[in-house]
Amino acid sequence: MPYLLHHSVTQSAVRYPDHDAMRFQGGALTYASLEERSNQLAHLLRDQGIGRRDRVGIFLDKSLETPLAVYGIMKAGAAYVPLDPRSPVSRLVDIIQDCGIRGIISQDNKATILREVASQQNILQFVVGLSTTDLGLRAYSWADVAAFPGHRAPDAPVIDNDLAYIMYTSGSTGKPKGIMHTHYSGMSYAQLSADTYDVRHEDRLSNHSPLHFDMSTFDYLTGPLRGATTVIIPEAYTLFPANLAQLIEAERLTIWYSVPFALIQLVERGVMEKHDLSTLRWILYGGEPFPLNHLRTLMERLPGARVSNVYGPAEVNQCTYYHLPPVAEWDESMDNIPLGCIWDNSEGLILDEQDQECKAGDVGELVVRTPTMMRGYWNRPEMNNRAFYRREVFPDYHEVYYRTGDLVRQDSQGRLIFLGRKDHQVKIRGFRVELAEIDAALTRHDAVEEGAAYVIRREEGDIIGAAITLKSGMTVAEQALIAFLKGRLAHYAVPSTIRILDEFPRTGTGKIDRKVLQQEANLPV
Amino acid sequence: MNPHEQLRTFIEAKLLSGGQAAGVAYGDDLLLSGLINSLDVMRLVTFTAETFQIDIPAEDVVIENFQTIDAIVDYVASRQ
Repeated sequence: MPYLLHHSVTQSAVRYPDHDAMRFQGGALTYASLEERSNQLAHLLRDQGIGRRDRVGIFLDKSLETPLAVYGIMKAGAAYVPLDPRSPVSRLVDIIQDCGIRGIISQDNKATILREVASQQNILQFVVGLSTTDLGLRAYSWADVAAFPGHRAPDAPVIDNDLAYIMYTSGSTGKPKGIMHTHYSGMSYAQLSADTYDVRHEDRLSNHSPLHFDMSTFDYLTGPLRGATTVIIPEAYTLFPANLAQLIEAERLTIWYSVPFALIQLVERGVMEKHDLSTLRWILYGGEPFPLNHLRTLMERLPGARVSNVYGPAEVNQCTYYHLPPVAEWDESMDNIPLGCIWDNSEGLILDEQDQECKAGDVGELVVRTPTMMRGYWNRPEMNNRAFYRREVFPDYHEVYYRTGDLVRQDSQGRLIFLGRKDHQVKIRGFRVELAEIDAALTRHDAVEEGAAYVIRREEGDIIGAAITLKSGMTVAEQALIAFLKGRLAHYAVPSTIRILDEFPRTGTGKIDRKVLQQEANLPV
Repeated sequence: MNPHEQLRTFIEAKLLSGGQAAGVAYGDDLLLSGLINSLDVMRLVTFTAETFQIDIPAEDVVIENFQTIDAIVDYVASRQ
């Protein structure tokens, strides 16, 4: 059995050498070519001194180079770090410095931004995938990669407790934080998810999520474990749901996994009735709640597909699932679709404010113990202390649980029901956004005295709004401030509107009253 | 204004606000930059339908018809 994540590709290359591992816009990588070319990349990385306990960035648009990078980096013994291809320079520099990225796999259209990144720090040493060489860094093309041997991976010492990947996510201090997953936690996730959804060699999985979003681990890690085919979906297809429907039909996808947003678009504008989507046997969604009317329409149009609500913060990959009943069997419990039950080989507790277990039916924070759990946040000892709950089972023996920050209760059937967040973290199209990070970015502008972000509910998907007060004698135009934030925040965290206030509404303790701001912004127009 | 100019003016003024409107060429890929979101697509479709007085069925709202200003103009011509 494979126990390191890259063993999946090596094993599937033996069993199914000519089967497509990955497809993108008509092109394909068979398991044999994914194995050979990722071996070559691993040899080049070893040549650059990369190995166990190193990190290598992946700064690529969706492409067939992405799986080569994912598996090539792991085969070299290192951990891959997905970088949002739309990140501003400052965020890239933050991440490179935070986890010491010495090499990046990228592409030619990123040369300009990489040149700027190279000039702002001195940790990054080389880039793979470029034909230009004037970055002030060592640069290698894919032709250079192809000169290395591909018949076997390099001898890189790796154990299952070594890091396999680090996912950066929004952090409340204004700096992104890195979620560390090991081969053990990643492989546990691949195994559990493959079992839960009975993923088979004949399956054709969608890759809708970008690599830096944790849903991509299903597409990139679970698919190869079972020798299945993953079809990478171009980013623009979410904007054009009719193209999405065409692609599902043409590629005969059997398992779809995305945030609800993409599926809502498909229902509203995908012209589903003109396409044969009957190959779909599983629709998995997660990241945020699915509006019930759209979900009902989706299920009515795809009677052959089962639908599963997938829940789990990126820190645990996944920890619950709820397979929805057919529409005809829905009752009032569907008004807040259950998260379902904790999955196999795992345990969940519901704790009150004093970390005591709640009585049955009471609301508390969900904490989870699962083999799919992260090791911790990169280089954030204090945050790690807060992130985990340690329960003493015997003297000197503690079980370690991840604190999800999500408030839940258990219903009479034992299913977990989501009731909100403990903090100010919100989800925008499935992306985690810490409102405090936006606040911090707002106040970095010279004219801004204080800033507070909030969520504006929209039928077509929530957006971010913000309010600011100005320093005396200073002014700033809304569009100029938005442009300023685009240079500092992930694109999904940039507010769509910013209001300028004379003063903020305050709570009794003098804190900015975010609830009032949010209510004002959500008044019907 | 000719159709190309009308579309360019709309896209630069309404969709690429916030300092990003650095001149869109007729052949530029509007989707590659990631600047346009799904709301923008709907606004672009509505603008195109109203300005050129054509009916745009949902199945025609595809990348091939809206990727560039040139593509939109070709599509409009095919519907008039």
